[in-house]
Amino acid sequence: MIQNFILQPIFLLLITFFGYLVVNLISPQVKYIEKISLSFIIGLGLYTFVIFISNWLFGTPIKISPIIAILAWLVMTAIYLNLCFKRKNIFPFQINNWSKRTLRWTLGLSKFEKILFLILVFIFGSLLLSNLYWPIWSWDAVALFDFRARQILSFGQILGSFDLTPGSYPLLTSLAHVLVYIVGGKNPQYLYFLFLLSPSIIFYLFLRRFMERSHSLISLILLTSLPLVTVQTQSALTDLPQSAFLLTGFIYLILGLHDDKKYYVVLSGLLFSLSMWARNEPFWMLAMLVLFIFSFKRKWFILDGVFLATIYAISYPWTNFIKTNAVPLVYAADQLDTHNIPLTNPMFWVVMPEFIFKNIIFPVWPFFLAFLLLLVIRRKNLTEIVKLITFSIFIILTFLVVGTSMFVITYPQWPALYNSLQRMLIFLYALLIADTSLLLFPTKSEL
Amino acid sequence: MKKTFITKNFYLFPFLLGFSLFISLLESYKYFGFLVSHVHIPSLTFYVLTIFSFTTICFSKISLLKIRASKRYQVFLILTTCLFVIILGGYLFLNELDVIHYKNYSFVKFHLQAQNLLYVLAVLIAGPVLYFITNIGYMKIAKDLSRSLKNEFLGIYNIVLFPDEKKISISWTKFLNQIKVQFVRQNNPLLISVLLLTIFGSYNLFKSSKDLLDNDVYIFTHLKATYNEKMEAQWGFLYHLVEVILDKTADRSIILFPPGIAPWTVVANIDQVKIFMGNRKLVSSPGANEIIKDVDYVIIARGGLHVFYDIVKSDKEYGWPKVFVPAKTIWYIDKNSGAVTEFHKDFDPIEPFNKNAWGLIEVDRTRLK
Repeated sequence: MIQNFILQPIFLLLITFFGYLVVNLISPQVKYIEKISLSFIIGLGLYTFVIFISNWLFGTPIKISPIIAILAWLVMTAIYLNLCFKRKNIFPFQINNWSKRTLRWTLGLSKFEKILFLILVFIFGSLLLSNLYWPIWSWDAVALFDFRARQILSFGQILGSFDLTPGSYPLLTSLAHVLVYIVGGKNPQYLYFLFLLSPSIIFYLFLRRFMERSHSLISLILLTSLPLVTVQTQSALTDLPQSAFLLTGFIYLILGLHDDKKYYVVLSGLLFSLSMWARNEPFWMLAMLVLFIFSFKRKWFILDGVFLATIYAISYPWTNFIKTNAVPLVYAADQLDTHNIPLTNPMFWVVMPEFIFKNIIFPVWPFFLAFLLLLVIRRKNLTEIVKLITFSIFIILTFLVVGTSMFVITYPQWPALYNSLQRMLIFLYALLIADTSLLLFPTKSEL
Repeated sequence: MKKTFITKNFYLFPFLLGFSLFISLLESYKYFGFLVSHVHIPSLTFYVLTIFSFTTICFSKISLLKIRASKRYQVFLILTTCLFVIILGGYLFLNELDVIHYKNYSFVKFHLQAQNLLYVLAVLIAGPVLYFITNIGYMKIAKDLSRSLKNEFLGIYNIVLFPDEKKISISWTKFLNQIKVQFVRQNNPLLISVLLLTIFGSYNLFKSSKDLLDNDVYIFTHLKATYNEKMEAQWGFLYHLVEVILDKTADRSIILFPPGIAPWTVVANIDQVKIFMGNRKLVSSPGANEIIKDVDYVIIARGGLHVFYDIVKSDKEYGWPKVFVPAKTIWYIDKNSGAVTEFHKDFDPIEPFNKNAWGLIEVDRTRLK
C-alpha cells in the first residue's frame, strides 16, 4: 500500500525529472512548458532502453534495487552533464511561478475558450478516469506486452523469459509495465494517458505559435476527439506511444527547419529514435528524407549525421539483440496459403488503391477532402510552415503507398494488416489536422 | 418566424420533458431498447429533442423572461426539481444497497438498476437548471454566455469564410443569408471544407463523448468492482470461461482447446488466456476432428464468439469436440447467465445439446485409446 501511494509517484517524478534534464541538456532553449511536457515520454523511453542494455550486456537483474540504482545513476549523470555544459534551470521547481502562469492563463480565457477548455477537461478527465479504473484488458496487450512484462518481472531477466521471434516488438511498453509493477503498482494502464497528454500539449503549443488560442484549442479538440485516439488511449498497445514520439518528432523537425534552429532537429532525432524503441518501424526514414531535402541548402551535413547516429544508437541494439537471440518462425502449411498479388497481376492495381483508400483515407476522409480543398484555395499564399507540413504529409502518404504495395506483393497475410495500419497513423492524422487548421484559420501575422 | 419557433418551443418543452421522463422511467423499469423494440423509435430521439429544446430556451432571453413571469411554469420547474432530488436520493440509496448486499441486489428486490436512473436524472436536471437560471439572479450570466458564444462562434466562421469583409455584423440571420449566397450561388469550396470539418469534427466529438460518458457512468456505478468483474465486463463470456477453467482444473494439468480456425478463433487463442492459467499446459487441437489423447481436460466450445472471424457457412460447423470423449465430469456453462452445471457422464457430440454447449470436460484418461 505504502509502495503504491508513495514510491510509485516518486519513481514517476524521478523518471520525468530525468527526461527534463535530457531535454534541458540537448535543447536548453526549448520553452519550459514544452520541456515539462516532453520529459515523461523521453525519460521513460531512455530509462527503459538503459535497463534493456544493462540487462542484455551486463546481466543486471531487473529487480527493485538495481532498477532504482540505474535511475539514480542516470539522474546524477544528467545533472552532472547539465552542470558541465552550464545549462540553466536544472531543477524544474518553479512551481509558484508556474501555478501563477497557469492561473493567469485560465482566467484570461474568453467564455468561448472556457467552453472549449471544459470540453478538453472532460475528454482528458474521462480518459484518465478510464485508465485508472480498467486493468490492462485489450487482447494483444494481455497476450503480448503485459505478458512479457509479467514474465520479465518474475524471471528478473529479459533473455529466456519469453519467446523471441524475428518480428518481436521492442520492449518500451513491456519494461514500462515492469517499472510500475516493481514499485508496487497494480495497473500500468495510466501510462498510456500520459502518452496522450504529452504530445497533445506539444501539438497545442506548436499551433499556438501560429494561431489564436481558440483556434488552437479547436484543433486540439479535433485531434483528441478522434475515436481512434480515445480508443487507443484506453488500450495498452504500442501504437499510441509510437505515435506520441513520431508526432512530437515531426513537430520539432518542422520547427527546426522553419526557425533554422538545430537544437530542435537534435531533439527531433531523439524522439524519432525512441519511436523505434516503441515499435521497430522505419518511419524515421521519412524524417531523414525531409531533413535531408530541406537541410541541403542550409548545409547541415553534420546535423544529418547526428540525426542518423541517434536513430542508429537506439534502434541497432534491439535489432542486434533480435538477430542473435530470436528463433525463426515456422509457418504452418495453411498459414502459407498466400494471398499476395504480384505486380504483374492487373488485380494489384485494383486491390492496392482500394486498401489504401479504405484503411488510410476513409476513416478521416472529410479531413482529407477539406485539406485538399483548402490546399487548392490557398495555393498562392502558402506559408512556410504549411509548406513544410504538407510536404511531410505527402512524403508519409507516398511511403504508405510504397510500403503497402510491397506488403501486397510479398506478405501472405497482408489483408489482416488493416487494423494495425490505422492504429499507427495517429501521427499522420494529427499532422493533417494541424495543416488543415493552419490553412483554414488566419495566422497571427494575418490578424 | 424566429419568434414563432421560440414561442412554440416555450410551450413544447414541458411536454417533451414529461415525455422523455416517462420513457426513461419506463426503460429503466423494463429494459433499455424497450421503445425501439416495440415502437421502432429509439428513445435517444426524444432525449436529443428535449436537449435541443432545453438549449434553445436557455439561450433565448424571451423564453427565460416568460418563464420567470409564468407562475404555472415556475410550479412545473419546482415539481421537476423535487422529483430530481427524490430520484437522486433513490439512485444513491440503490447504489448503496448494491454495495452493502451484492451486485444486482436492487434489481432483484425492486426491479430497478441504479445506473438506469442516471438517464432519468439526466432528463430531469433541466428543471433545477432552468429554475436556477430564472430565479436566482443568473439571468445575466446566461445572457452574457449566450452573447459571448454567439459572438465567438460567428466570429470564427466570419473570419474564416468572409476574410475580405471588414465589418460583419454578428447576426444569425445575416450570417445564414451570407452562407446561402456563398453556397448556392457561388459554390464556394472554402465553405464546403469548413462544413466538412464542422460536421465530421462534431460527429467525432459526439461519438467519443458519448462513449466516454457511458464509460464514466459505468465506472461510477461499479466503483467497487473486482479485477475479475472488470475483466468480465471487457471480455464478456470468454473471461467467465477462463474463471471456470481456473476453478475446476488442477495445477499442472493439460487442457485441450479447439483448433484455431473459424468458428473458434477467439476461444482457441491460447496466447490470450495463458497469462491467467499459471502452470497449466494449454494445447490447441490440430484439427476439428482429431482424436483426443494425453490430456486432462477438454474445452467444450460452440464457437462464434467473434462476429467477423468466427463466421462459418453452415450451423453444422459449430460445436466442439466433434469426437466422443470418455469423461469423469462435465461442467456446462450457461452462456447467458454464467451458471455452471455439473454432470457425471461421457461427452457425446451426437447429442443435440452438445452442439451449442459451452463448458469443460474432465477426461477419464484410463478409458482414452
